[in-house]
Amino acid sequence: MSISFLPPIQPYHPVTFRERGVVVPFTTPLLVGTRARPAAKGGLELIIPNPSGLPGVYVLEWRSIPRLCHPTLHDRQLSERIASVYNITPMTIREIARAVAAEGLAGEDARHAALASAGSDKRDRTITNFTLLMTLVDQVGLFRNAPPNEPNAQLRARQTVAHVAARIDRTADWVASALESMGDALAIVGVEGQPDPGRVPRIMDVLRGTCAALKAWSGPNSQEDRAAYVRMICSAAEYTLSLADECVARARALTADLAGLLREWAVDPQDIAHRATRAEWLLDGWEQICQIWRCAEDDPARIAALVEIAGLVPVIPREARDWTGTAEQIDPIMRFRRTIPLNEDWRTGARVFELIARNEHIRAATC
Amino acid sequence: MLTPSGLRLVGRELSAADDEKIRQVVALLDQPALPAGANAILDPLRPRLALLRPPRRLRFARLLFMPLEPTIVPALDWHPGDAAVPRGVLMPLAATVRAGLGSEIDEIEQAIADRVTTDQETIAAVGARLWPRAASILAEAPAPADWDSTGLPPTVYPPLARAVAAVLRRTQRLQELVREATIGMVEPDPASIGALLAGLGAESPEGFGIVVAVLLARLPSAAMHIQQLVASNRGSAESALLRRALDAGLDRTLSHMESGGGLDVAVRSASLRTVGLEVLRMAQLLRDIENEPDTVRHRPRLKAIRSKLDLACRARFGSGLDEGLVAPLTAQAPVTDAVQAEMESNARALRALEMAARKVGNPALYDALLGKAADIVGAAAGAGVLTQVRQARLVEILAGPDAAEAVYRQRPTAAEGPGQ
Repeated sequence: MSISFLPPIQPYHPVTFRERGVVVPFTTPLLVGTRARPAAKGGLELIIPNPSGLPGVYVLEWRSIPRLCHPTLHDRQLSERIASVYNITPMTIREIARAVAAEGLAGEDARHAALASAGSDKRDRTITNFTLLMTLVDQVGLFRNAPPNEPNAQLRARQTVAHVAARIDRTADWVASALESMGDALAIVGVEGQPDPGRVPRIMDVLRGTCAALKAWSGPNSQEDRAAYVRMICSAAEYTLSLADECVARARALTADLAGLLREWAVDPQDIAHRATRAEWLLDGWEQICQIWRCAEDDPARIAALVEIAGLVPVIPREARDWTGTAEQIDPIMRFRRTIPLNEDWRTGARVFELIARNEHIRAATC
Repeated sequence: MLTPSGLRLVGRELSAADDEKIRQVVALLDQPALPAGANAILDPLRPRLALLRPPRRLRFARLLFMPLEPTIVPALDWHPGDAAVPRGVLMPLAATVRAGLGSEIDEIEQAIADRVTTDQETIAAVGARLWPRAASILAEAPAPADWDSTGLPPTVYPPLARAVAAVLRRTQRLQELVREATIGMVEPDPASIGALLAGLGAESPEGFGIVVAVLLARLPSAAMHIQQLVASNRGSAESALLRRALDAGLDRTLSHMESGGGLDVAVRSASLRTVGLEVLRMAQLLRDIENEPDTVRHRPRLKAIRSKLDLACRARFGSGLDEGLVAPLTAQAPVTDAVQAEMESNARALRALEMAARKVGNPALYDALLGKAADIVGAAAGAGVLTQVRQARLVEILAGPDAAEAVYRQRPTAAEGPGQ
């Protein structure tokens, strides 16, 4: 990292998730954990974790990446394509990153994973759309006393959509299209009755598994410094999970009265779509952390992973309290005293190529 | 049945055999049905085996003495008081440990059954259990009944067995330190070296020497930390012993590098994946010796060693380039996903070697070698063996992201044809 170019370290206490920024899956070791957010003066800015692992971040203009380090070709393409995006969300970043990975710029595994995950997202959307439609049929209840499979599901859906359209003063086409858009928005968390959960519940499962693995590794006889790191990471993860659980539950509860939700959708679709993505915002950054832990194969590598992860644990903005109605204090969870000293050159020395390969492996696992 | 001397005679005749034949003989001797004693046939071949490094069957004794490998010498080269272990004592010592383990031996044998010396996970897991137990056993066990077979007097046994125990007792922590240094994320910690050497004062001088020799062989950067320990405890008996052991350890390490086999084993015949790290360790040791005032006695030897290391690195880079990139790219078939991934891995290993080798050689030469490698990749893309994105990926590793970006920007657009 070009130290002479760097601005002073800044404190980092984002109030909103937009201010926290979205993790960009860079593969250049020095850029791991970097977030993107809209700058106050327009354009985008980078938030780079303090490379020493101590508190604080560097905040830089987006275009300054090449002055900071020598990014990989993958990261050059990624930053170039992100630079022209106004609406920075976990989903927009994921889609851009996936397109870059699908070209093969993060290696063969990431290319295959990117192509496969595009299909898996599409499948999630199809399942959610179908489940929403069937939920609407059940809630409206036009066929409650009809014989099984008469009329068939397609006809039931069509008649229900027409019925609801008349009730909310819209056309059947509008209702069908609105249901599809709502399905697209909710697919990330899934809806009640959906057999295969969406992307967010899958990430939550991975995070729960990582917490369990960290605790099992740390164990009751672990050295105090390791135990302290594990405690901090798991506390933050578990708190994030509890908030995400609440957000998922609230998002799924939106569909308890689909006719009512369609009325709301007609007035402010953005608000509903935003509520559906809250859990994704909350979990942003944790998937990478889980993969860093998974890549560590033995104890010394796990200790290194622990120290790396401690510098990447996402800060929870106060906005999370508004989203979930929690009164719990968020700040104390994030207070942590680092005890294992970092070798500050570790991301630029002889291991740099190995680290890029690991980061590409993480790209493949998180597409 | 052949006697050990008869087996060695056969081994001497095998010395002229080609590499493949030697690998076949090793595989044959590793058959479970053959007794470990048949390995005497390999004694005259050990310098060749060190170069070839064929995977061996993971026998109990092999696992037990792995941590001591850098200090194991032919029995004829060993003298009492040396910071080394004569090969002839390994089997009697292994039998002592085996007897001391009681019923645990069955579980260990079961865990290593059908495993070979490249099964790192098994070695780490079973070794973690075996080595501390073996240390306790050897620290107290009397000389085995068949000690006479070693040809050494009984008085040699106690200090030698205790010295081996001193190493085995520290193996787990030493391996962790080596791994931490390899990962390079956590700051190297002199206190960890101090903790590893703690209690050495109670060991025999042989134990002292062997522990330091093993430490230097596995973690050359420890030399600097040992110097600091010596300086901070100057005047104490332990400090004097440590200083002597360090001096002897450095002398031995440098002699090994000067000898015909030393550098060749570590560089020319090392796997492409690990050679960069090996060279980095050696370069760091040479630099530390050059910078430390207390190692001035060794400095006159450094220039020749550095030049030898430089030559070995150049040769290894050339052979690595041939085996890792030229061969797959000249196979005249479009590269598959697996071959591309393998070539990328090889290219990374070449860069790791180059970064380490620059510290002892001419950086401009490596710039030229990397340029040549990128040209080979470019030619393969021109011949249709590589897509342009795959070419860009390899060029990025070999010549950096600027060169890769230039390749990437020249790729055909979707309308012109497939870039992937």
